[in-house]
Amino acid sequence: MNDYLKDIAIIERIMAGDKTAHRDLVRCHKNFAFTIAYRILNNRQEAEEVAQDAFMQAFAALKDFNKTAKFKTWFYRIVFNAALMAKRRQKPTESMTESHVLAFSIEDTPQNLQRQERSNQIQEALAKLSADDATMITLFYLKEFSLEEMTEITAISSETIKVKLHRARKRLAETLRLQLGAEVKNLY
Amino acid sequence: MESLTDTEIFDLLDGMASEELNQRHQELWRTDERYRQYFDELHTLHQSLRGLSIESPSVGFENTLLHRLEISQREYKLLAISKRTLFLFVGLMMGLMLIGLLLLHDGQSAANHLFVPALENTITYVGLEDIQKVLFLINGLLLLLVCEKLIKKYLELHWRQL
Repeated sequence: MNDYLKDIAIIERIMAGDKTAHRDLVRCHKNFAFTIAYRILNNRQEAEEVAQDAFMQAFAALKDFNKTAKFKTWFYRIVFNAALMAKRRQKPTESMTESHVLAFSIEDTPQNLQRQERSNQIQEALAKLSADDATMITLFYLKEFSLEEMTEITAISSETIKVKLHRARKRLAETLRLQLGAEVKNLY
Repeated sequence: MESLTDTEIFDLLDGMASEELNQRHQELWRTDERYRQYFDELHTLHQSLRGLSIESPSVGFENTLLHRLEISQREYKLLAISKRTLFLFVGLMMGLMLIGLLLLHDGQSAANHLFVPALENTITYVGLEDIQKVLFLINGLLLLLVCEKLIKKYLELHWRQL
């Protein structure tokens, strides 16, 4: 069963009064909802609150949800808007980048460690991008949304999204270059 | 040969490039060292981003959310019950008012002739003042209930803004 049909089946269970269906819907979407919020807010606690608020809003509006539409684009739009609103309310000190802790284990091979290090560098660089840029990259790469779906979520035209996405990736590349340059300097 | 723009390179990486663009890229890749380095940098970034993992919220996320949902559903039910009670109360009040009006009405219709004497007897038995007192009391309660709803709404809005 594809994601769309799976979502619709869960929604129908919720509407029929199935108590366990809410949990199933949360399980399907909590990670990505949290990731979108986290990319925008750069604060885990706030991102969790925003993701939870978005779920609450979605549950309350579920009876009005048009089942011919995709739940994920409808829901992630709620998350995106909620995170942007929270970002506006956020005090400057709260948006400070949280450090990513590298977890080493015995099973870590040099390749895995290298990959992990690269991933951390990108996470750090992403945190330095604007909320808009980080969201574009998150939507495009992490869930592999199409430009049309991204248009539905962000309410920005697909042409503008394309431009924003290109610009975001360029900025990310520049940030990474600067980051790596600083790391090399620190070595000497 | 003119180098590719960033947009064109990203189109290539996203698999949205035209045949002509692909050929230009192949040619530049073979001949231009600087282009190759730059393309590699963006290609590595593209691959790294594709391999980026989704973040997970804390372990308690699900339970906290479902607990919040349970509370809000309970509150919603209570609100629905209180709304229903309010309508019932208003209906009751309107009924009482109608009875009051009927009691005080000096009607001429045939229907009134039938039960007005009986009502007059009731008024004499209970006393008009007592009926008025009860009506005032119920109306007062209704007024308080409406005021409470309005103040509560105002405070909720005001509280959210703060």
